[in-house]
Amino acid sequence: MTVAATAFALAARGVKLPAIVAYLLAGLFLGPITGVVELSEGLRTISDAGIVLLLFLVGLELSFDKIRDLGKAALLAGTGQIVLTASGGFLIAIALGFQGTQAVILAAALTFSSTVVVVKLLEQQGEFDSLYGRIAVGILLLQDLAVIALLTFLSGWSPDTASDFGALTQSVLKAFGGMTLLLILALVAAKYWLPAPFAWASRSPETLFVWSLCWCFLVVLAAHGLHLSHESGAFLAGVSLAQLPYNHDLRRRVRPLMNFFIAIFFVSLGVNMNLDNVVAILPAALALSAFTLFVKPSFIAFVLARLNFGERTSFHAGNALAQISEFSFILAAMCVRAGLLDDRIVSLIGLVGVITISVSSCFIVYNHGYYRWMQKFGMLRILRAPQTEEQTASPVANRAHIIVVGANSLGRRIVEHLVNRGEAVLALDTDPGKLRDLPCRTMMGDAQNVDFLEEAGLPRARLLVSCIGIEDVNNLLAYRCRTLKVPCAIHAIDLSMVDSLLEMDPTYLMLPKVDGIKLQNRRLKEMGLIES
Amino acid sequence: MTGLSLLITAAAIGFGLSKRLRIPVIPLLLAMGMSLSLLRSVAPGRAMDEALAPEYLEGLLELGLAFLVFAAGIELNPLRFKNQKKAVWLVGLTQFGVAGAAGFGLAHALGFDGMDAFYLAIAVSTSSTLVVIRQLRIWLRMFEPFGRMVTGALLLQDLLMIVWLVMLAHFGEKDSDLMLSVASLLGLGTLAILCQARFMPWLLLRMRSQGPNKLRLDPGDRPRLDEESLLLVVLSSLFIFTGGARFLGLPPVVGAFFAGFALSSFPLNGVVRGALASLSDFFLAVFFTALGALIVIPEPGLVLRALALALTVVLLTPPLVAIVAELSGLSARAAIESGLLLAQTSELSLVLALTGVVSGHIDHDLFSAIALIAVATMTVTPLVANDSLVRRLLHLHPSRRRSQEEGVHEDHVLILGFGTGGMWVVKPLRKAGHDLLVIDDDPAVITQLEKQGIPCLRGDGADEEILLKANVTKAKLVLAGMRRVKDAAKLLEQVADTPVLVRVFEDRDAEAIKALGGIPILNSEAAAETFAEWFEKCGLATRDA
Repeated sequence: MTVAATAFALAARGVKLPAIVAYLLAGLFLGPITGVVELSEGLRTISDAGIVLLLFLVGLELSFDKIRDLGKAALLAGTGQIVLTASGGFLIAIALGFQGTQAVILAAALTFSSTVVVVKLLEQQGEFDSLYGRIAVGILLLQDLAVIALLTFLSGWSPDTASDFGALTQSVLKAFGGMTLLLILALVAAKYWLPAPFAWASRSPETLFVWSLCWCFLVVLAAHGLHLSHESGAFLAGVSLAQLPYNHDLRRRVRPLMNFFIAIFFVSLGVNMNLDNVVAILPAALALSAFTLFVKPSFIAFVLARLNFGERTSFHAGNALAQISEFSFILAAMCVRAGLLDDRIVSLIGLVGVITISVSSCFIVYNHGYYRWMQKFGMLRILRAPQTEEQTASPVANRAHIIVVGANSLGRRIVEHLVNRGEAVLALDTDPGKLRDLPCRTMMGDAQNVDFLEEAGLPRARLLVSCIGIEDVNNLLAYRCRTLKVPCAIHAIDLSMVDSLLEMDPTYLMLPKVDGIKLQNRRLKEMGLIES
Repeated sequence: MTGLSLLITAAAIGFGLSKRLRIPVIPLLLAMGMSLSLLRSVAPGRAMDEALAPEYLEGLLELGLAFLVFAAGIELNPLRFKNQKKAVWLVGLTQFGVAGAAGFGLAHALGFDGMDAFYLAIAVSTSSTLVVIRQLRIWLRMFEPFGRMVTGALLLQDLLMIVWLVMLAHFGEKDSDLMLSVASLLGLGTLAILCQARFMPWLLLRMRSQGPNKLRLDPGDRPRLDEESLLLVVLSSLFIFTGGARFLGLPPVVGAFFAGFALSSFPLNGVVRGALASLSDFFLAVFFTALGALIVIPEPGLVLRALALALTVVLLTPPLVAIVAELSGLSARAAIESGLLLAQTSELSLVLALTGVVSGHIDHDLFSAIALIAVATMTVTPLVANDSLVRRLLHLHPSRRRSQEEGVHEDHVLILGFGTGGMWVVKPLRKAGHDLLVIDDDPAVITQLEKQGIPCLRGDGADEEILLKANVTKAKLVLAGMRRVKDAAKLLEQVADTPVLVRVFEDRDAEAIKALGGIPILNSEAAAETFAEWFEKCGLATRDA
């Protein structure tokens, strides 16, 4: 499965499609098309763990600061978008001949957009911090909260209670009660229980990582005990850890693990997809996809225009959200378990997912051309958005700066010197304790991780100074700087390491052992023991 | 999900205890796994039985082992130990041969029959790449000469172990089948070598560098191979090799090892290590906890016999490796450190035992015994491989009993630790006419000094007897460039009035030296000053700053 996922992901990369589409296609290839793979219990466990880690990661994004930052705009636009899209989706589903419950679920599936796809593509485009990017992310986070409420609702739904309104109400209330209890637990933990032990564990990156996973799975178990979905538990576990100062580092550490497990999840989803009736569902899939690709973004853009955002911002924010979410698949899977859907609707949602995620990825990648084209043909007049000067993207903080890796005694001295000189310095270390008192901006994380280095702005840095005492990390940083053509000063821990470092062509080699001997000789001279 | 949650929780407790008690994490993970097993027997129930079902744990073990062997293989870049070839061959082969023979003899003496004794002998003949590499990384000593030598010996032993694995898996079959397996092994190995040297660096590094070196894409730019794709390509190579091994009738772990080796060239190994860091931590936690949970304690007699074999590994390997390593040119201290570090059995011994059970060569009890030996020796290794034991063992070193020719030094300058920059220390002192004495534990350094007529003593600068021999209390000046601050502290305890200059890197070490009456020379301070001078001239500084 991993090999097929990789082959499809690499092929998809060539045509700029996101990996999720590739995984679904790989699953379709392995399952319904060739029948090579059947899902085993082990694969289901990995797939479940993938969803848990995805929700945990989404929760980790939700620090209270971020929630405050989203502000009124995201709240109003998000609520408006959910109401309009859900209503529109419901009407079109009814028009396509679906029954009440099915139409409601289809409408819900169309309402949510994919956090994973949008965040990934915005980062790739370098537009994550643009105004439209921040609005889109704000709406996505609001949608995530709505998804959690929906998943909670579905936890209380079962085929046994569906026909009995009293039992259903009791069951749903129980689920929301459990959710409230778990939410309180997560918030209390975030405020009182977690900070001290996690501060203690934070000086050992692997302990911090394993503890965060442990917290995630403990809350998942608690959710299971309260008859809630695993996803809800994982999300709340993430939210409680998002309030800690190590959330960025945790996200970077959890992401590769999630990437591996979630690839299996999406491939499994494709494997499970029923393509027997693809011809029958294709018209409905195309209609629902067209709604998601064109009408849903118009709703978002329209609401944003009413909130006085400019035409360009409104358009781009709407365009970014023109797909259905990975949660729509999870939602569909839960609805099947609850006896609310049959496999045909699951296949329909899957097909809509493949179409909308693929097409909207292209819309996002080519958003500026798409905008000009729409403007040229006057198709944006319908928004009646203010033609005000667009707000520029928020300034990228990490530009033309100096990155100092490793806050040991050498790193701290160099940071102090550079800061006193008025340079913009960013210090990196895995140990938050070492970064605490530095007079510059700091980031906690592992310098071997490319994502971390990109987040630190290495491609735009003026100089990287690596002070750490681990030879292979120093070699790797020298290699990365050579590839990026960023000047670098690297710590040669011992003279025996100079040759291999010189092969990486660093701008400057720091040799503390040699400099130490020179300093020692100066002292000896002061003591009158040597001449020069 | 409950099973995974239980394992992660047990592992988290293990990590916490490891940090609190400053004990290496692997034995604690095994202990936590065994506690889970105990919990299941004390409080049995369907949920617990299902969560920790042996089939489930074995599945995790198989995946975890393949992944960890793969990750360990990435560290085995042959270029790392190109300067220690002789020591690598001598240490690797001697340990494999002598420890294996001793293991076979002892197993026989303990009443194990032919095949059982054979499996036990192979199990005790090699050391654990996983445990040793992890320990070297924690100590930041992966790239010291002894670290490189040990890594090379492990690669050699792993290769030998893989050959045994294949031979035993096909033992009793037709000769042609066995030959076919060996040919398959050689084929897969050759493929791994080709991939290591050419294909994988071309594939991954070329793909990564094709795109622009910036986050924002311009029209026409090709997107880079991002972290997710890189991870998938890396994992695919693991699954392609393990799948290939299965297809060729070889154990999957052989494929995992070769897949890791295929990615071991620099800078690819660094790129891959960064991408795999969290997966390695995750599988380390899950594998050792699940292994602990799977161990069923055999009957007391077998436990005692297994412990006797474990004791043999712990007692025999250190002197054996230390003697051979020293004969191959390593310093006494590095040789002893190598011996202590290699005193455990390999994770591949577990795979070997599992293969034996599947082939019907041995029974489950012997598997448990081999697992027990692995657990006991892996637990002991991080505890015995420490500075204080190394120092104690140095006292027993025969060179200490030999009389060493040295003059009676007085009013001399004593230099402890010559290192690679020693001549910069010696030259100006000699020029100023001082009487010098250098102490270093590296025989090559001593030979070089003797050739140049510089008075020297071979030994450890922290060794009280060596210091007495060097007449440290009568020295007018001591210059110490020791790696461990503890050693410098020991030295300072012995001298009262003599000025002692100690070169250190960290501020906290400088403070400790100062508190003990020494004069710290901060290498980091000196390097920061030199950096500042360079920065002013290099043209990268902000002009108006």
